[in-house]
Amino acid sequence: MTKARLNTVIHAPNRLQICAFLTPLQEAEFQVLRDELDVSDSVLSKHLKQLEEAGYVAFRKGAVNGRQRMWASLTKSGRKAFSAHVEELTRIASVVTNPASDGSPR
Amino acid sequence: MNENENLSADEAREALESVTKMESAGWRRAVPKRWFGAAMATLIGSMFGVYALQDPYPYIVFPIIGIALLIASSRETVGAYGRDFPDSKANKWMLVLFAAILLVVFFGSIFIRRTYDAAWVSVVTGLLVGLTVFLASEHERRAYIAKAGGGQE
Repeated sequence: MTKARLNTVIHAPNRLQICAFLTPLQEAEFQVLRDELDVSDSVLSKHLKQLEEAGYVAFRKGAVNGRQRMWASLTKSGRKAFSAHVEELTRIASVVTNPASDGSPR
Repeated sequence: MNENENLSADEAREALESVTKMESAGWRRAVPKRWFGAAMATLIGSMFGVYALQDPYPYIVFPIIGIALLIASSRETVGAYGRDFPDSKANKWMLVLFAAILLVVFFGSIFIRRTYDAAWVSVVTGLLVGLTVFLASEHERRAYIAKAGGGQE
């Protein structure tokens, strides 16, 4: 085990997956996100709301063929926070192969 | 937001694996369609080629409207699409350079067409620009497929 500075908003598995999925994208539709994560509408809404409250995700509403659709995208601060979180995970993952970077007293 | 947490290397690796998997899924969803690149190449090429006409101004509006409609309609139907501007500075500069070259070619071809009354210059420029845009779109498509883990050709 190692002490880590992890972003608690992003670290939850579903929210981590949402951020990872949105990283290469400009926008993704709610239904696409739901299908990729394989979760219910309510679970996805809950996680997206938490990311929105942290300022990491923004929404846009649009109508296609008379149907209301919602699009989600990562904000600039969301991309920055996710990138920092992944860097920290990478650092922790490398601890075993490089014990010197653990930082714990010997 | 940040908090000290105990996390094992295995847990971190597991989280990173899920990140890689979902990022690949994002790239896979965003792979541009080949028809989109071909349509965009045709419309941009025709923006250049239309100057072969004696009075091109009533017609120049059609490819511009076409491009706007193409982007809007494809985005609303695909469910997810790639970023408008690249992440890296090098790629951003590449885009700026490409746009600058297109502008120079655009005004250069109009100048030559008017000075020498050579309609073929606009036709050839339109064809070359269209081909370049199509090849660039294919290059982008392959880059998306590679990042998605391949297997979409």
